[in-house]
Amino acid sequence: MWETLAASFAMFAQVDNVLALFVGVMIGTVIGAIPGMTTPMGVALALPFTFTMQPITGILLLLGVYKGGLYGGSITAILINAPGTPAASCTGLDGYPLARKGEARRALDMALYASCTADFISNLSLIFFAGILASFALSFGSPEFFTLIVFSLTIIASVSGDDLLKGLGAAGLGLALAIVGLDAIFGTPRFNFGNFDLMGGLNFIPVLIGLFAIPEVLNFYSKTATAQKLSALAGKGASLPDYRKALKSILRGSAIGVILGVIPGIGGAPAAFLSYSEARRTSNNRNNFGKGELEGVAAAEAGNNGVAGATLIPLLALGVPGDIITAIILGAFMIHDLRPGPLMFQQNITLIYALFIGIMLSSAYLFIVGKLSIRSIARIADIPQRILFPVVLVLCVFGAYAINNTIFDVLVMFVMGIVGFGMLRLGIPAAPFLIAFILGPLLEDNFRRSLRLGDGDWTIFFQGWITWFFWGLTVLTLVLIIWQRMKGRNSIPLGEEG
Amino acid sequence: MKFNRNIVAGLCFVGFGVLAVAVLIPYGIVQPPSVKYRALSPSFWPYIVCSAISVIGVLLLVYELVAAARNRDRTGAAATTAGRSAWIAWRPFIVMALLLAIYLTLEFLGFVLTTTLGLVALMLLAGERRPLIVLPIALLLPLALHLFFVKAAQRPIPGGVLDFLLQRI
Repeated sequence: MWETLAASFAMFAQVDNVLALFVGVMIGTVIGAIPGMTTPMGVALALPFTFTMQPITGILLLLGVYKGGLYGGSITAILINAPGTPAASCTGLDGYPLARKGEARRALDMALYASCTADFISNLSLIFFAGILASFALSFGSPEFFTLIVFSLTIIASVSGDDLLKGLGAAGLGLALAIVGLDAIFGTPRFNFGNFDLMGGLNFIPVLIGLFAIPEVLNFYSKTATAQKLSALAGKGASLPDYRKALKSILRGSAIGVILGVIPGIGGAPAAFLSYSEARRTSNNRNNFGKGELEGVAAAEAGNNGVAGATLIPLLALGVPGDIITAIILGAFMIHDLRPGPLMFQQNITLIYALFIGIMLSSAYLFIVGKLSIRSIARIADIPQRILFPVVLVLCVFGAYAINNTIFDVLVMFVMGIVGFGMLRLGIPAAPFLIAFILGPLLEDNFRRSLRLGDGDWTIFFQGWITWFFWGLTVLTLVLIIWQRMKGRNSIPLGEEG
Repeated sequence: MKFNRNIVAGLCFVGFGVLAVAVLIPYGIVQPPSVKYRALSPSFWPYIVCSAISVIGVLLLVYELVAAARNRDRTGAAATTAGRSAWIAWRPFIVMALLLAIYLTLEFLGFVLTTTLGLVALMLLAGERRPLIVLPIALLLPLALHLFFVKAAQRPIPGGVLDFLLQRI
């Protein structure tokens, strides 16, 4: 055991490895912060550079890009409400209002602290619980997935603010938009109307940028000059009491991230929203969520980064990639004649432990890179809005195009921006729309696959303890939401109801 | 001008739901020749979703109308455009027209030229009139973004009419 550990440490402790990981985290942070540049894109771009490297060095570089990208997505979400990743849109719910209040640095700091803590916890879970969690993930079939996603949709109530009906309506529109494309079972067109560009459905990044960034730009132009306030936006950083206050939400979010991260195909966005929803539900400041609550930023980032180490569990323990990024990393393993899975733990245990050491170090690197960048990045929020918003728009145009190299995505972004602006003016929240748009295809696919599996028998949704567990959680969450809303309504004095 | 945005939102939901159920689903979803169960049909899920949107819209309308009948003071539901000049009220629509112009010219003029012109127009519209601020940003930012995406990220950004120049950089 100790000999293996010593050999692993010797394998890791080389300048190339340490540098590759650091450079990876830096590249990932930058890529994640650019709207339109996704983390999978960053990992894919870095992949060819690993061909000539040692296996451990190459894989550490990719892991660094992955981890940096998860955090980097939150930077633009907080500063300009243009999330770099779907999960970061949850961070923007409270991060952007904080930036507008002149607390950009505080929000960025808290996002970093929560990211590092959750990443560290996720890495620990990878090291200690890989076997147990992998077998848990393997017991998920279509019915279990369906009930999990139904439960995840209860988040909508939390991110709908005061207008639950409007939030539900927005979620409905998100589900409807997710239908566009080819039918997953029969391959027949749905809502394509002969348009080739719509065959593959709508890419979520242009929808994301359109829904969150463009409405802000349009809204800026709809205000008078006196309403366009400038403030000392860099502000003070987050303090230890701030971190301590949010620690409970960070730990909870990390656990949610780990559990959802091991399940293939779920990803960081549901984890971030679920963590946010739970933080809001249990917080004494729940009315401040969505208006600039630091705990909201912490919860969202903890959920998002909690998946980072956990997604590697099915990859390393079973050889099953849970998402696009881990699929690319699997490719990197295979390029070097390595096959992740149970056999690798027997044949290449030294490499596995060396990777674990590197993964643990990546949390520290994330902290260093984040701390170094925040002070300068936060200055972006000090740029006058009359310059910042046109620049954001141009950045969005390049970003939306670069995802698939198609002008059609720019059109999708603009159309979604106008829809988002309309929603903003009508007080319809955008977050439920986005959650439903992301979860919609998973929900429908697993619903139909389950029914096909059960030969049309609906009781398949109630078979096994996992389905019952998630139904139970769903009912419990709904009861709590209704109870809290009724309690909140009764406590509002007459005439102030909104 | 004062309008109740909850009623407008409710009408939008109902309008979209009805349009989808009556027109978009029947004409926009191709049915396979045979489907074993109704729930497996490609149109089953869209019907549920779009019907639900209509129901939510109706509930929102009923809720608002009942509230209006009770003559409650519903702060936040009402939105007003009073107090804003016509120019300010029209500015988002001018930006929308600019977005359309940007989209239509992106491929022909290229990203650099289109976004340079777009940046100048957007900054002027936003009230930034200092040439020493507007011109350097409008000229350098699109060029920097073009170079980043083409050289570093290996994305083929259309150069349009400036393609011959950009390829030499």
